[in-house]
Amino acid sequence: MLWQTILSGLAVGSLYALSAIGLVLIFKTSNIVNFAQGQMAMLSTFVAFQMLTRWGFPYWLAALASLVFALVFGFFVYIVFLSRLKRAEVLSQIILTLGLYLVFRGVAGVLWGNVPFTMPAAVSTNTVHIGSAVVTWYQLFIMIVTLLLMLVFYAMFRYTKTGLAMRAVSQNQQAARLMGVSLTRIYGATWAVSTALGAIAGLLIAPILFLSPSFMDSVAVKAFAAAVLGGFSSLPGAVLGGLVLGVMESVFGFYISTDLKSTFVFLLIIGILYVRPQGLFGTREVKKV
Amino acid sequence: MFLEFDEVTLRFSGLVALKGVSLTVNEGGIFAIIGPNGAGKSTMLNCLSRIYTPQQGAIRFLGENLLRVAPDRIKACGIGRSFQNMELFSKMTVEDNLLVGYHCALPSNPFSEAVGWYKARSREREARERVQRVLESLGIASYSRQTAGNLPYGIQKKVDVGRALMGDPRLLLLDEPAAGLNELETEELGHWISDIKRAMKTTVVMIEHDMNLVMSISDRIAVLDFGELIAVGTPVEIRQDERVIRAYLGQEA
Amino acid sequence: MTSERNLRMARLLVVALAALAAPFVVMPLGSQMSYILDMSVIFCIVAVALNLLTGFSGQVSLGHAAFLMVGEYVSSLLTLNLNWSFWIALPLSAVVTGILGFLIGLPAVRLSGNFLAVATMGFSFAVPELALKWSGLTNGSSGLMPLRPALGSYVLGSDQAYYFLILACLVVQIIVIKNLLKSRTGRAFQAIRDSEIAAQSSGVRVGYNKALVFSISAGFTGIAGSLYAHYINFVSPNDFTVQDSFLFLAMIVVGGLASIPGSILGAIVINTINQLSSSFGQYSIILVGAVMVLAVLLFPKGLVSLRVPPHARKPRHSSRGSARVTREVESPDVP
Ligand SMILES: Nc1ncnc2c1ncn2[C@@H]1O[C@H](COP(=O)(O)OP(=O)(O)OP(=O)(O)O)[C@@H](O)[C@H]1O
Ligand SMILES: [Mg+2]
Repeated sequence: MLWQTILSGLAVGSLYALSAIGLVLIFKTSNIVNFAQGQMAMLSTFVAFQMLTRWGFPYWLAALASLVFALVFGFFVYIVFLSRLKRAEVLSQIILTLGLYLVFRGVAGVLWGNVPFTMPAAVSTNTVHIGSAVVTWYQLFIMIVTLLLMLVFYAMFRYTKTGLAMRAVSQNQQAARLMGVSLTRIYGATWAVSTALGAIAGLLIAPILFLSPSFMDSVAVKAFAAAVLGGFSSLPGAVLGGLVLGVMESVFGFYISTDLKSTFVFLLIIGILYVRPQGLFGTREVKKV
Repeated sequence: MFLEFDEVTLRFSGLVALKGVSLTVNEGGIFAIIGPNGAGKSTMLNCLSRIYTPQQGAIRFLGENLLRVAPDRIKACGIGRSFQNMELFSKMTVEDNLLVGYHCALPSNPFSEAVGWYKARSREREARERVQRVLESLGIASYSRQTAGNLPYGIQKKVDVGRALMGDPRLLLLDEPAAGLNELETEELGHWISDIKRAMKTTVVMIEHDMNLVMSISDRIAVLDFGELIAVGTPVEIRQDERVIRAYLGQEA
Repeated sequence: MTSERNLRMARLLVVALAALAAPFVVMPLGSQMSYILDMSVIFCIVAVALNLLTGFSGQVSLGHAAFLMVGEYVSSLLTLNLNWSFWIALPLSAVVTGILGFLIGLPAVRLSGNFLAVATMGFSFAVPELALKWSGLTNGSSGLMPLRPALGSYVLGSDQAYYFLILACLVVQIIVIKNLLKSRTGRAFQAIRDSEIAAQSSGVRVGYNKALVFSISAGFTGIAGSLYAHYINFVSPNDFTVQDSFLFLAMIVVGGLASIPGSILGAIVINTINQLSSSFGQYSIILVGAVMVLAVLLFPKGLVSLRVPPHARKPRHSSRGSARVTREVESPDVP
């Protein structure tokens, strides 16, 4: 039974991890926490839903369209809104993304209403037995996709020129700019990629949770917590944070109480942060004076 | 013994920033610490003000081991400091910056402050007068109501020094006070530091790269290179020291 | 100097008159407007409290929704279960919330920025869950029904009468916070925001002051919670959620960080738009969101930056441009 709980925790945790990577990616390069990330994922998922169920396109095409939409959408959100606020207080940037969160939520409500829809899944939701545990194919699928995406990301950061530029920008913006890296392009690319990541998370979650303008809310909050748990500046940290959070929730919910699930989870997070204020994978920055 | 570094060693994961530094500073006078970039000069001051904790050794001030003192008690022990990059309270006014420097000397009672009782107010007025005197001595009294972060670099530098001087410290630590100042300003600063020493009987420990300033006002000089103390002596002795010349020439070559 | 003072007095007078006249001005516009006005002033208290913590002291909190609820429950339980007078319950709700704030502030001593935001956010999740679970005390989702307070035999039943109670609390709060900010403790808060290291080297006890400002901020928010409970006359676990914590942050950023007039402006603008548009369904959140986006884009320093402070009109002292370049590279570290 414990296995079962952990396994389903890992499946949910993978989703938190995916969204958390998107958050961390943006934060690492541009120092902004994008609270609209969940809503951008939600809109991208609705694009797929629209094509799939209303216009009858095949799943792969709908998913692809959703990803392309997410890439363009993320890029434009950065160029149109965030790039204008470069010199402002970080808190102003956060409030800007919160405002966008509300706008996107409202737009989705106007276009699709607040009645939840059933979103078709990419693979079957039948169950399989692994040892004594029962999981669905879909849960396995989620974990595998997450794993693959993480590998792709790792490779991209390591081996592509854009990846190198992103790393350079996250270490030292001024120096990177002097070396001829266009900050606007790199930030735009980062926003595009992390929105696409969010869209993938959205596509994977929607079949489990029902699709509605608010369906990403709880995931977005958990992704934020997961990113923080991992250190907020480390991609492996974000993944680990997501998985730990997913398993904790699942185990607490099953063995202790579902009513106080969030309470326990956050108590544990506070506990972890008390011991390691920089998160699990974060490095403690000592300010030189 | 006024101030004593006793075999102080500090490592930053691999990098040894201070290698068994032993040093004594007598009361009264200006003590300069010089050395090439990255020699560990600021690190010495940071150990003194308890921002870093050395792995080995002891730092004694008036007989008390400072390593057992909490960082926020250092000022109350009579040690004020300025910072290489100033660390001003940049959104506060110049006056408020100096008032924070006077924090320890003001009585603490958030309740009477919140209610605005007369006693709290009169202490406050007295503190503001002190601030004004320090600002005047630095020649920046006209900036007192302005936001510190918006001021020119040279003024900010002076604000930092002024903040360190609030509360009449017995030991004043200055980390590169003349950096970024022009020749005239540097000369003024030199006079100011000498005045402080004379008028207030404050001992000054100063890190400085400007050799003219160092040689003209210091009573004693310590030279640091790669975390090691390579020489201590009067300006005349230091000027002739073989190792010092080599350390500096080696850097230039 | 004297003209600056006169200007300030004149401005204060105008604001005071406007505040006193407000309930009678909006009265003919219907009960909804009176309701919005009262709620706005309650949120002004929250915004001023949050700005003390975030704007003046540099600590982010997503836990203020929870502090509001704690204030609500403490005051309701004291008046309903113990039959205590509202006039005792009101300050006590500040005390209890303040103590709780101090405890929440303790981990804050070690955390900052996003890490602090998440730790406090947890609190906003926990309190509603606990209120629901602990139904023996809180009556669960059926809620509690605290009453309007009375002055002697005169019950503050009308929105206008209650308005003056809230306004009095706000005025007291502003006086207290202004006094604090002008004194040793308040300067320590601001010093910590600008440079923890320099504050510490100046003798400021960073940990204690961080917890203290958390406690003060929470205490005032508790008062707002109590006022809200006795105004609405209904308290339930769903009253305030994390979303509200975000909205409070939006209020102070839109109005102006580290500014008391800014907090008030932000609270009134955001709350009024929020309530007025609530009948438009989906379009309401679009509107609120758009206001936040536009306000931040057009006035990154908040709506107060529209107002020119008297002493800023003086000609600036000469400055040497070249020396400033180094400061621009500085990367933002809150939060
Ligand atoms: N917090 C820290 N973490 C890691 N290394 C550090 C830290 N602070 C200082 N160092 C290293 O310790 C060495 C000494 O630094 P320090 O700042 O004391 O030099 P300095 O003599 O003051 O030089 P400068 O003249 O440039 O100010 C340097 O190599 C520096 O990189
Ligand atoms: Mg240095």
